Amino acid sequence: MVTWFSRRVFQAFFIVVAMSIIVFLGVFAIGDPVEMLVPPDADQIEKARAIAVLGLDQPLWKQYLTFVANAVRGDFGNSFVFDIPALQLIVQRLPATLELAVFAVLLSVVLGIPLGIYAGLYPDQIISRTIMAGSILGFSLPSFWVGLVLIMFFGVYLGWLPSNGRGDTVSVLGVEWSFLTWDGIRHMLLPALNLSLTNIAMVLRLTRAGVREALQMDYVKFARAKGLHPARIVGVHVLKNIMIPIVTVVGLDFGSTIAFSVVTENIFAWPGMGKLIIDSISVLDRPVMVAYLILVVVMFAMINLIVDVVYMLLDPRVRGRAIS
Amino acid sequence: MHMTRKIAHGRLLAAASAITLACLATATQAATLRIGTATPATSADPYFQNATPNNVLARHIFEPLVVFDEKQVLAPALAESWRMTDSLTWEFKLRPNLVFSDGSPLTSEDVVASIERAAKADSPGSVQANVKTVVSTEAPDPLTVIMKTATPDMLLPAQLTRVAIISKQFKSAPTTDFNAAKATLGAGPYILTEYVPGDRAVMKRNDKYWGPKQAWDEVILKATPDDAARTASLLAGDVDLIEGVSPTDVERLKGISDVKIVSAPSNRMVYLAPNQGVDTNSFITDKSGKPLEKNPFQDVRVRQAVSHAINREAIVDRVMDGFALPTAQWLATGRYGTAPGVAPDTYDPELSKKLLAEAGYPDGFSITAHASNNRYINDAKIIQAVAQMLSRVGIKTKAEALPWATFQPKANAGEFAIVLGAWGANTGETSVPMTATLATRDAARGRGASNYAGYSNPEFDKLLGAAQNELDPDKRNKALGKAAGFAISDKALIPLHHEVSIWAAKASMDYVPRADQYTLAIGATPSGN
Repeated sequence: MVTWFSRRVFQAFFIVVAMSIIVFLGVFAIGDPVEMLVPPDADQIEKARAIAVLGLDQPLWKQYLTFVANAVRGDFGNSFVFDIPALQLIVQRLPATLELAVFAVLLSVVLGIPLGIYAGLYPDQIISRTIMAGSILGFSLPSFWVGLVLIMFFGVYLGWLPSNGRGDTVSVLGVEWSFLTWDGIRHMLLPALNLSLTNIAMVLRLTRAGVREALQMDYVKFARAKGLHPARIVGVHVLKNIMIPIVTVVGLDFGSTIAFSVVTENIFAWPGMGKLIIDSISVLDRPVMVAYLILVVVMFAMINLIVDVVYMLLDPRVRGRAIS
Repeated sequence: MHMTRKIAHGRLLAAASAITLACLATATQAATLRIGTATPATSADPYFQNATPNNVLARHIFEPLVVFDEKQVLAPALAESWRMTDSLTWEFKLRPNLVFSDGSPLTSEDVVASIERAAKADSPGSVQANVKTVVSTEAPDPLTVIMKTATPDMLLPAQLTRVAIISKQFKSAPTTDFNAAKATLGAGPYILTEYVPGDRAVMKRNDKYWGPKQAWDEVILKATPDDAARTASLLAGDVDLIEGVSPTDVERLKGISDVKIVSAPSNRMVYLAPNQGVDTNSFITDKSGKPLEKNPFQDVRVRQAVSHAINREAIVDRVMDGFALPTAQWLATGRYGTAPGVAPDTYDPELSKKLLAEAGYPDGFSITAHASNNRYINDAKIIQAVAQMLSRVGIKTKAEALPWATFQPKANAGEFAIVLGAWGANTGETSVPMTATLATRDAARGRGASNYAGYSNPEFDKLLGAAQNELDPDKRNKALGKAAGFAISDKALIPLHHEVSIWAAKASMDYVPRADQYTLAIGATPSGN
């Protein structure tokens, strides 16, 4: 158990180091951060001063070592653009993205699993066929287009929901959350729907496939023969046995929703981390890029860890192997 | 849960009063102006970064000594008059009885503190560059400021339009205090109440503003970077005014009765810079792909051929949807520092072919033309149109569009054959663009910093230098015009057009568009007022 755990931690650490080196090299391969920050009419003297201020006049290896020395103390440097600590900038945006991601994942589970179960139990009904056809649209339509369509339909034509931005927030434990206000929820609905469409489609299809497969299994036949209530058969016996792939997908989706909800956040002007990372890449804000990607690696490692632990809870066979 | 009758009664009363208050509130509706901007400000500190979104925010809450009006003519703001008392000294006279938004007096000492803080601002791209010629600032009396410069600086008033005047008590305040709205005490038309970096700024009216009374109780600047989403937010009624409307959206918006389109020519000139600074370039080849031994762009006839091959009207009409003005120089002919009597080159492909033959390229040659794809309006489309036009006269052109972050350093290093550039003449005259893009590169003296074309002509440098040393405004105007005329006839750059900036607003308000592309609440008033 312990060796398995420490092996995972070591792997994550190695990836973090590799990631930081790649970003450092990558930024300079793309272009010059200073050119993005100074006004177009800045002369060479102004640019030289800016380069010195940002520490970019040092050789690259020296810049990297300075970065590592500070990073182990928790200081990832100041954003080139905002001049506030990169970590602080990311953490400021984290609640917004977290709310959106959790809401999106909740939607995908709450909508995807029941719809998938229905489609699996009664595959020949018209409703089931419609659900499956809808799911194809769900993961083939590009999310920026769907986002704009949602804005036009619900924001402009119907005027029911706001077209962009985050709603009013309430401070809890020093952090601003918007899901605690009605205005906040109204602002969250469209972006969360946009973000979750692909996930709903995938969870739906996985659930349906799992249900179809599980219904053929012997234990389901025995349970029916025994006279168990159908709800119990589906809710306990079938569901528990099909959850492993679903949990994997939901876990991975959660990670990538948090890390890369760039398109949705950009369209809906949602002040989250996804928008921060794409803006930082456009202007080559290296400290923010490095800090963000390291955080993302750590987060994915943690999520994979949690998913593995959940496997063990769900599947006794995995539990046995881990212990032995 | 059951309530006692008293509590239930109390709650009913509270609900009733809340409803009444809500009705009253809508009756005396607070006039809020919500502006959808394209890029968020990076700080509420006016000296942190000299970038348009930051300057726009600063103009709402602070006031500089002088400002540019919407036609980019210098106008008095906190200073009611200014003059050069000798070649190295400027004297500014402040308006009497100026106050900050909290009522405290604004005197020359605040101006001195502001200039000193600006000079110490060391973030990249800070306003320090705007006050770099100032060596000392004095306040001999509360209404007079004397600034001494290291060299004669005719442009100081124009540079000072970027220097907001802050209160002297915040002279050493760090940027974080400004972002937290603690140090943002200013004399502007609005007061900053909330600033979220990279997202929005919320302001309320400053009733002690020296200028005309503002119509809006509250102004919110909200950043929505995606063009389509920004237009949608106007249509949904979530904002009242948006900037940076894409020309393709204009047709659709024109058909909607409660939206109006407002546009104005900007001072941003879009041009082509043929690389004349190198003898060979990997992107200039003969028809078979072998790099040419001599750079054809070093021959003025080839540059003339390129200029005549371009149908500027077609670009304006088809690529820019009519939202551009063909141009021959940095500012419209007649403005300060422009060459007199110059018009955009005619579209004459036959002449181009003749010139190319004369220069020794009767069969033309091959080039790749580069542009950015995310910086200027339709930059990628313009370069594609240019490539087609050049190909028609025999210069087989391939177009490449790159993100700005990748394009700019390479273009500035002279790695490309011909590039698309743009320059907004922020000082309302031509000496700054000419120094940056046409003067021979001289890093020590800060000349030629954006000289993509690698242009270096001693005759031009002499004319420009003489113009910059000229202190008499009329003589300077003529001298700059002479230098500009020289560069134009030498075809150092190939100007295409001036961008026209487009705003869209609710039909219930009027908006005065600006040549510097700033979106300011002072330009917006409810219609019929």
